[in-house]
Amino acid sequence: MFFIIGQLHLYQIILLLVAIATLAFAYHRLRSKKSTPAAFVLWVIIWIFLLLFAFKPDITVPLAGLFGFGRGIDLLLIVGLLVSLYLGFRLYMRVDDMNQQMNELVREIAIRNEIELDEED
Amino acid sequence: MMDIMSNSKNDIFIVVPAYNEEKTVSHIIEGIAGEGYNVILVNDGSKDNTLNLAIESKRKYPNQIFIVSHVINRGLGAALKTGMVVALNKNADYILTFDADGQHEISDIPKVVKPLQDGEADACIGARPFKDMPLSKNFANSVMNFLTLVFYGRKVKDSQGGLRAFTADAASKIDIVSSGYAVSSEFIKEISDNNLRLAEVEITTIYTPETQSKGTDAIVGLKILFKMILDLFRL
Repeated sequence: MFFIIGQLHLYQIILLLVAIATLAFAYHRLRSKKSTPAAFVLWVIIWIFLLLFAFKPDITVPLAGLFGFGRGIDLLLIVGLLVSLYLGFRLYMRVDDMNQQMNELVREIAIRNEIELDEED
Repeated sequence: MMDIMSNSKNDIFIVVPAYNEEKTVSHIIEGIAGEGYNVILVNDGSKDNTLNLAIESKRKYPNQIFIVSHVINRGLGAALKTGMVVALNKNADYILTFDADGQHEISDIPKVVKPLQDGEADACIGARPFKDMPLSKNFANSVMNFLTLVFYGRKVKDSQGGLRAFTADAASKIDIVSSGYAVSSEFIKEISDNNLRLAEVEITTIYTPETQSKGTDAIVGLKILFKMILDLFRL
């Protein structure tokens, strides 16, 4: 197999590198006070889970079984899909809110600048 | 209850939202002002000559035509709300909405105001006879009426008509959040939610290539449906 290096599959290596990079970035944000410790801990937990799924798929089977899935990857995909849908919906609501705010802004500008004719006409 | 003053035309304000309507805008706002009504033209970020033409019209009727202008296009609903706010600020007794594309007859204005002046209703919507519509519009508007019934519990003859009249009190209660064409159904929702008395009168609709190009077709209808569903989640 071309894509096995030692005992590792290519996707496992990629995931590991992405995990290290993301966590390093999250740590940097934490240190520079751009993010809260809670958010950092959340990221660490998420990545530990993802790495667990990637490196020890067997131990995720009981967890998947708890939700009625046969394989860990199925649980992962469904959870991923639900999270994406939720984020999409939240994003839509945010954009909608901003649209409302922009309407208010444009309305206020319009009302304050009602068009008057120049006197010289 | 009704005195002579409330029958005069100078407490009636006609809100005309206009987005790229240079072909029709002068004719419409001068026509309305010529009948003695006040006009509030809301230029909704038009990219054509709409605003300049409206200013030219204002020179002819400086005390009857009022112009406000959105710096960027915000959609029909946003423009109507702006116009209604301006009308309320000017102490209008009756506020009408009138499409700028030339599909309404100016002579229909008294018809939609009358139920309000007579104290029979708080809001009145001009219903376009569906039999006069081209088939595609007929179908789209029938579906919209059905959806309006399902979502907002009001059975109306024409949920998407653009000629509407409100008393000042009704207009101040109506809170429009839709930016685009979904506003037509939202007016009915607000009328329903605020327990306003709604009248419907039949009006003439003029179908020309200009009036055909905008308004409720299947795509707009789907967008409105999507908005209606999402509005259920709005708290």
